[in-house]
Amino acid sequence: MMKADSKRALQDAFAAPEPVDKQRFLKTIPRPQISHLEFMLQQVHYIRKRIWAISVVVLGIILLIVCFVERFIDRDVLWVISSMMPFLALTIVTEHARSAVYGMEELEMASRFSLKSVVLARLGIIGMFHFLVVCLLIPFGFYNSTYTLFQTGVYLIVPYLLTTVLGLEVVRKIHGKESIYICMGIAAIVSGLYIILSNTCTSFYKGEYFGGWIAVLAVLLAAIVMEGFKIMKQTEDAVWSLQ
Amino acid sequence: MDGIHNKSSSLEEQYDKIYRYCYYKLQQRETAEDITQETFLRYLNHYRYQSVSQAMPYLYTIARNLCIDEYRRQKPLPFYPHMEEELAEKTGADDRMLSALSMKMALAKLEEEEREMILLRYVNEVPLAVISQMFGFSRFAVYRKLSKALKKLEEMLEGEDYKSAK
Repeated sequence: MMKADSKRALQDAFAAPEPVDKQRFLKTIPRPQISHLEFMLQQVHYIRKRIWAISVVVLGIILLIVCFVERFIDRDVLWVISSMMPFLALTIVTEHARSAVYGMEELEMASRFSLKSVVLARLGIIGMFHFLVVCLLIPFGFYNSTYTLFQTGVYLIVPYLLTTVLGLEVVRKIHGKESIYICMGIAAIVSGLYIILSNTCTSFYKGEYFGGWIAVLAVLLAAIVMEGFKIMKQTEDAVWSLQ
Repeated sequence: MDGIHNKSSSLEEQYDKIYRYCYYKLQQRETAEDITQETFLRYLNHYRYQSVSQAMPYLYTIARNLCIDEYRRQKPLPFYPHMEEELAEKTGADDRMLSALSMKMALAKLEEEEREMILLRYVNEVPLAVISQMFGFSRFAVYRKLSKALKKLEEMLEGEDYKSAK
């Protein structure tokens, strides 16, 4: 550790004459900025293609099953779509876990953008894409059923959010590829539970229990927000521990 | 988004530090200022967005390379060409000025690389990681060189060189 007077002597010894053109230069300096939208669009290219591909494949499988069920079984297909939603949620969780799984966190922290903004942007982009997919699926779930459009939306979004919350929690606590396997297990369990409950429990989608579904949805939304904060905090802690 | 441009005070601080570094390398105010501004313009031309802390290695590397180009055109003045005369003139100067001049004399006797590292680390407060990147040494090597240079400086300031100069 250097003494304060030695440090001051060093600063005086290296002192330079006052720059004369500093203020003018700083005022005229070009200040190109990147907007939030540009940043988000830039991040789209960094999301792995397989994430989009898996989402589209899941959507395709859902549509195939829906066509099959409607043609040969003639009953509502909401349970089919709901039970596939966890696999859609799995893609968002695996994309979030990518840095940790491949040991790239340190590198990403030292990169051009902060890891926090990158994580938020990518989760936001995939989240918006999945929201569009869910909106696209709502009419299929609504068709041939006795539920309203809003009810259908809630029934579809709950398994998606449940898998996402549990998956993000696992990824935050467990590092490495194991977290992905656990998330796959969670998606399979949630999907299986939906298939079993919607086919055995007759009151599963009953309108009188819809209040309960809304409560679950509210809890899951709160959990997602809390999970987001925890992820951000963990990212900040990791940045500090690297410095 | 905390880009380099959103923190004008940090930008100003970086400007002062880069200017001080260029002035040290060239010992000419106008050229140092021109090169400082060229450094920022080149940096901003290539990197549209970056936080100030992340910009530091790039700014120093650009400044260092531009100073080297300038050496090729024109031989720079030595770090401190007339120190004895200046020190003799400052007999009535205060303690702070005297210690700064003594420090300058001692610094002038160090190797160029050691002097540059001391400026970067202890005056401009550049992290070891950035210095090691600039010089192409490991962090440990930079740390060792800095410790050695500081020890030499301390010995010179306490030893005969300093006393006789006084």
